[in-house]
Order: sequence, then structure tokens, then C-alpha cells
Amino acid sequence: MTPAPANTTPLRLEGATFAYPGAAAPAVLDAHLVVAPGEFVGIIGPNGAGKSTLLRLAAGLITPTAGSVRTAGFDPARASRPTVARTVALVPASLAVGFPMTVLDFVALGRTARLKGLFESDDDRTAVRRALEIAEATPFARRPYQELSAGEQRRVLVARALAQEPRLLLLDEPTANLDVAHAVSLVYRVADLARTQGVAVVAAIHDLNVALLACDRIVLMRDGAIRAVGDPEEVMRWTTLRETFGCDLYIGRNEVNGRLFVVPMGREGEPVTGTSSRRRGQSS
Amino acid sequence: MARSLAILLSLVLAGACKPPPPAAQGPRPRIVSLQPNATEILFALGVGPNLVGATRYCDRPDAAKAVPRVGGILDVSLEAVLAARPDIVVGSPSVLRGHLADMLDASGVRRVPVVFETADDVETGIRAIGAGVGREAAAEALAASYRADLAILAGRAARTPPITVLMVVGRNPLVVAARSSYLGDLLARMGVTNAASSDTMPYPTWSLEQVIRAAPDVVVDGALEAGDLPAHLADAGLTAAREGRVVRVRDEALLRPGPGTGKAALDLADQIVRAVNPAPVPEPAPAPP
Amino acid sequence: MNLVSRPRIPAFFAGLAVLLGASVLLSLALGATPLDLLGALTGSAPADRLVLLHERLPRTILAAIVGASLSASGLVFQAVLSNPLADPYVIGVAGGAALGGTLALVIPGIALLGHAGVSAAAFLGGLGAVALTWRLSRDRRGRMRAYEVLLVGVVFNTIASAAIMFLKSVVRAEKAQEMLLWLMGTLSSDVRSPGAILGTLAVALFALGMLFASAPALNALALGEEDAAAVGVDPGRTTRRVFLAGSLLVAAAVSVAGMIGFVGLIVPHAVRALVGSDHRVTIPGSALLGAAFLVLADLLTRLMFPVFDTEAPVGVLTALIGGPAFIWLLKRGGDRP
Repeated sequence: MTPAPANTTPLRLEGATFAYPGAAAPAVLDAHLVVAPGEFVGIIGPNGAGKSTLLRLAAGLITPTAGSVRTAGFDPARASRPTVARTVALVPASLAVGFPMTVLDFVALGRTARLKGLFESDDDRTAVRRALEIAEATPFARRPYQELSAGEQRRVLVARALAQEPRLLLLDEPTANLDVAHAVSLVYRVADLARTQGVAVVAAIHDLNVALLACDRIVLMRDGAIRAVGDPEEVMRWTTLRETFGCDLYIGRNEVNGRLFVVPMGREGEPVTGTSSRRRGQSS
Repeated sequence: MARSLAILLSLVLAGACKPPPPAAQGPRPRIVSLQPNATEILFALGVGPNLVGATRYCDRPDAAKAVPRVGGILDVSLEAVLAARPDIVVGSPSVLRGHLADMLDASGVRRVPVVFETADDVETGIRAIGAGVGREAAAEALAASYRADLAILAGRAARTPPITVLMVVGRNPLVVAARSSYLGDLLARMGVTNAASSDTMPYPTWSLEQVIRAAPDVVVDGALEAGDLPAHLADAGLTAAREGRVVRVRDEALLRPGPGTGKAALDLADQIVRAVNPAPVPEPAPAPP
Repeated sequence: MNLVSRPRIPAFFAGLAVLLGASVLLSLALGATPLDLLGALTGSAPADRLVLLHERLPRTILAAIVGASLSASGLVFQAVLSNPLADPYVIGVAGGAALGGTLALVIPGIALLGHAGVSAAAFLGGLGAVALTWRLSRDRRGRMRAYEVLLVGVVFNTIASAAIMFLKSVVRAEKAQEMLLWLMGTLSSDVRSPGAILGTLAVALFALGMLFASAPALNALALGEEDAAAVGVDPGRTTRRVFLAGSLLVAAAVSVAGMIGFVGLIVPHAVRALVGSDHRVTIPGSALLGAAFLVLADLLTRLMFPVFDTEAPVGVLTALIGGPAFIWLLKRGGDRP
């Protein structure tokens, strides 16, 4: 495969807006975001904030109703599907699949856009094996996808996206259903991939602590709009989080790895003792 | 799997090794008939022993039942016809066409197409078959006898009072013989008025309402099936049925254009007249076979 | 697929090749009447030669084409409609072809052309029905929706069968009988000329090639439309292409053999039960197994001739043999993925 010039920006959103037909408010409103090669961007926000819609816009599965989306320089909603699939890979949030299929066959489908002819070449096989390794799905490669646990299925979905060898990897809740060890391991492996291969990663992550563990930048969304973008230190402020999630979060710093972490504190309106900034001050 | 395949293959070999049927023995010409009434005519012409193939509906005369079968009326097996090694094949032109006709021609088999759609076709059909199998004299005798019967019928027709007749040939659904059919033509020769006056279809399907509205004087029951047609029509309120003027076809030869058709027509005409007017007719009625 | 060695697949295709070869040989060697094979081949038995070359050979080829066409189209319709009960006749093409063929049997002008006219009319009727289904089952964005395809197809088939019943009730009895025989599905038709056989073969091979080329995209489509799009497959385009090719196959099959049931439903399931659901394997696999199956079923109708004095419609036999065989396969393969 001839990769697109490395200097093109993997993802550029300029005022990207999308409203589902008949919906009262747009699901994504005037989103501006530029993602550089090798960068790991985490999208956080409450349910219905527009995280998945933003990813689907970036994958070209839906066409923006206003503004523009560019992946490696082209419009993913208008370019041919194979062209898009060689550049952009999406790990969807859902797990369903129609006919029975082994994990290997399932992951090999990630190679569809790169097949030369009807059957997989040695390159394709190598890519599939590597993807299975990275996603830690090799042990159950020969089992039927349907019989796996939800967490195992999630890892297989990640492997399928990795098999596409994309320049932009979009993950919709990659760690949902994963136990803590696999969730942590997965984001670290994806972060390694970003650092060593220069893959740009954008992941909508429910679990704030997982996001904080590996992401270079955080995008905070609510009601379809991007409320804040920046490195974790900038975005993870007590007042911002309170506005966004509608509950108080304790923000601390992990003394072992120096990363921020959050812990829910209590219901909205209950008295809060201590502030995150004070604690941060103490720990640093 | 392998074993069943071996069994199948042994079948092939058995089939392949089996000697072909004795070719072209017995009386010549070898004849295949693809139409039941043609089979009957062939027996009447004395070439029954020459028949090497017939349809599964060929059951008259009794000897016809022993003739090897080559299929039905429309579902004729080409392989079976050719395997009978015929010299002559008699049948309807709508069957003797297409691939079957091509293959017969390629094998040098003579085709004798015969049509039986009017009363006169019986005579021409008998002659055509006679010419086809080299029995012109016998065919001429049969045809003459039929023509004589028709002449008697015409003579009586002149004296027949006006009677409206409905001939039923199918019970469920109710199928009747219209004017344009072979049976309709025979009715016309009898000098009666056919209640089914349609010209578009030879054998239309009728509702009970149509039957009652047509109000025939006599109903002819030509449906050779189980079921009590007279009671059915009487229940429906048909006057002819209530008053017992339903006549049953006694001689099947009427329904099969062939050697017995003339006599069967005379018999039916007599029955119809008696149904309306029980007084004896001047001539003695022919005895039922 | 080829990532791990799968000994079953080469063995599967080898088995199918042997099965098809044996079926064809049996179908040529056996029939309603015994044949002097040696004499037929050397020419010393001209009548037998005629039966072998001008009846059994074209009929066997036709059976193979029709069986392959129905099975492959049934397989891909099941895939694109995500409905395991879909068969080749579900999308209206069959109703259209049957109606076209029936009209040709009835309309005097076309009836004069004989079976060629009936075949051509059936083919056109089938394609017309597809065009109609196509137009009626698109959403606002011009994409075909499986649910509506099924619905439009079922309704169209019902209308077509009602129209056929109507025609059957108003034509002469012998015409109605002829229509019934044709509709039940039969290979004992008049289609025997090399031109007709080669024409049907060409259409079938073209459409099968088209399907085979779409196999990777069809595999991805099993993921659902959005996931298929994510891995680089245009679901709309794939669906359209597969429908077109499948419809060509069904129209070709119906036009030469009427409506032979069941083959297109069970052969795909049998193949999936044996070798999984990779379309690069199941498309050629279904075509080969379908061909062998119909050749054998047709042979059986001819072998039964001496018993019943007629060749039972092959469509009846396919259901009688196929049904139990399918259930056996289902029970046997039930514990496998």
C-alpha cells in the first residue's frame, strides 16, 4: 500500500455539524479539532454528548450537515469506501454480527480494502497476526466470535480495526466490558502504536481514569459541542467537570505515574469539603 | 460415501452392460400412439399388435392396457418413445412438435398428426390414421360406418322437437361442453339446442347460477366421476334435474372420438328425446354395448 | 480465510468435483430406458446415439446450470437480506419470470415461437420484476432496504401467482395443463438446442463470476451495513451488484426450467454447515453442489419412469429428497460453528 504523505493531517474538523433527520438539536455542533500523527486524543463527556456521532463523522459514515471533515486531506464521506478504509479504521460500539464466524475470519475482514484479488496474501496474514497480538486476541483466534465474552469481543473488534493498518484509528468505547487489567493494557498498547507507528488515535472513552492514563489530549463534549480541548491538566478542572457531568468529581494525581485521576464525590448540591486544586497543591 | 458411490457406479456399469431391447422384431410397422382415442382406432383397424408404445391413459380396448407406456398426454418421455424403436408415431400436433418432432424426424420415424375437434374430424382422423399405418381399406369401412350413423342422426334430427340441452363434462368445477367443442358439434348434429352457446371456449367452467339461468330441458351427465350430479343440480333448484330429466352418457365411446362414436351419439340422442317425451320413437333404439 | 490451514476446504472441493463428475456420468448413462452406451458412442446404435447426445447430454448440462444458478443465488440472497429463509424466488424475479412465461404460453403470437419464446418471455419477465422491486424498495437516499425488498418481492410474487391462476382458469384445459407442468419445474422441456444451452450457460457463468468477485464484500456485509462500510465496503453498491447477478441467475433458471423449488434454499445451508460462511468458498461450493444435486434429482425422475409411466416433476423430488437430507445435515452439524 502506498501510504498517504505523512505530512497530511490525519483528522481535521472545521465547524463540523451533524443533525439526525428530524432531531430537534444537532448531535454535533460546530466542532473544530485537529489531530496530529502519533497523537492519542480521548473524547469524554456524559451520555448523549455526541462522542459517537463525532467519530462517525470522522469515519465518513455520515455526511456533515455543515462544516467540513478531512481525513488525511480527503473527505471521508465522499471518497470511495476502500480508500477511506485504508486510512481510517473505526472500532464500533456495538458487538453484533449476523452469521457465525471465527475470530480469525472476523479480523481478516479488516483487510478487505487492502486485498489484491480475492484471497489474503502473506502481507495480509502478517497484518492480521500482528493485530491479534496487539489486541491480545491471539489466544482465542480460532474460536467462534459469537461464543466469546463481551470483553473478548471488544478486543477482537480492536484487532479488526488494527488489521486495516490505518493512519487514523477511531475507537468508540474500546474499553467497555473490559476488566481493569485488559482495559489498561489495551490503552497502553494503543498509545504505543501511536507513539511508535505515528498512528493518530481518537477514542471516545467512558471511563475517565482510563482516558487520563494514556491520552495526550482530552476533548470534553456536552450537548453536541466541544466544551474544552487540551492536555489533561488544562481540561480536568473541578468546575469544568462539574458543569459537564453535573456531579462533583475529586481530581487527584497518582503519585506513582504522575497521571491525574478522578473519583466521584457525591450528589450535586451536597456540601463539598476540600477542593481538587488544594489537594493537587499538596501532592505536588 | 465411498461405498454408496461404488454402488451407484456398479449400477451404471450394469445399465451400460445390459443388452439393448430387441430392436425391430415382431410385426411391422411398429407404432406408438400418444393419444388414447387414436389407440382405440388403431386397435379397431387391426394393428393393435403393432403398438409398441401408448400413453398411460390408453385403457380401451382392454388389450391396450398391456402396451408399454411412454408417458402421459403432455408428459411424453422422449427416451421411452425412441426406445420403443417405432416406425410411426400417432398423436396430436400440439404434442408432435418441438424437440420431440425433431428427434423423431432425425430417427426417420414417420409422424401422423391427428386432430379431433369436430364431429367430422372423427372421419378424417380415422382415414388419416388408416393411411398412416397402411390400413386404408379398414379405415374406409370404419369411416363409412361412422358416416352412416351420422346420416341416421341427421334424419332423426329433422324430426326432433326443439330441446335445449346442457352437457356437463366435469363435476367439480362444473365444466360444460360449449358449441365450439367436439361434443358441442355432436349435440348440434342431434338437432338439439346447446344451452352453452359460448364460442370462445370449447369447455367453459360454469357457476350453478349460469346453469339455472340457462334452464335446459335436459341435462346430459358426461362427467364420468363419482358424485350424484342429478341430486346436486336438483338441490340447486334446476327444474330439469327436479323433474328427472338428467341423462347419463351410457357409452364412453361418445367422449372418445373413434369407432364407437356414431353408435354412442345415436344412443344419446335417443335418450335425450325420451327424457322429454317418454313415448317410444318409431325406430328401435340401439342397444347399449 | 487462508490464515490457518483448513484441510476441510480442499477436501470439500475435491469431494464436490467427484460428486458432480459422477452425477453427470450417471445422468448420461442411465435414464427412463436402458441405453447401448457403447453403440451410442461408436455410432453403431444411431437411435441410442440420438438419445445420448441430443436428449441426455443437453438435459444434464441444463440441470447442472439450473442447479448451480438457483443454489448460488439463494446463497447470496440469504446473505444480503440477512434472512436464512430467503430463497431464489423471494425477490419477485420468479413471479415475474413465471408470469412472463405463462403469458407466452397463452398469447398466440409468442406461443407460435415454441419454447424459445416462452424462455425469452420468462427471462424478460424476471428482469422486469427485478427492475420494479428495485425501484419500489429504495429509501430516500436511494439505498435498497432488505426489509422492503422482501416485502415488495412477496407481494409481487402473490400478485403474479394470482395473475397466473387467473390465466389458468380462463384458457383451454390442455393449455392450463401445459402451464401447470411448466410452473412445477421440469427439465423435460423443449430447451435442447445448442444455442439455447450455450446462451443459458453464458448468462449463468457471467453472473456467477460477478458474484464470486463480490465475495469479499459479501463477507464484510455479514458485519452489518455500517461495519462493512468501516472496513471499506460500499453496502449499497455491493447489494445492487449482488441483486443484479442473482436475478440474472434466477431469471435464466426459471426461463429454461420453470420453478424448481427447494434447491436454492437447502444447498446454501448445507454448504455453510459443511465449510462455514466464507463466500469465497460457499459461492463456488453452492454452485457445484447445486449442480450435482439437480443432476441427480433429475436422473431420479427419469429412473422412476418405468414405475409411474411418467417423469415426476423434478421440483417435487428436490423437496422430497432435499428436505430430509437437510434435516440430517442440520442435526449432524448442529454442534459446529
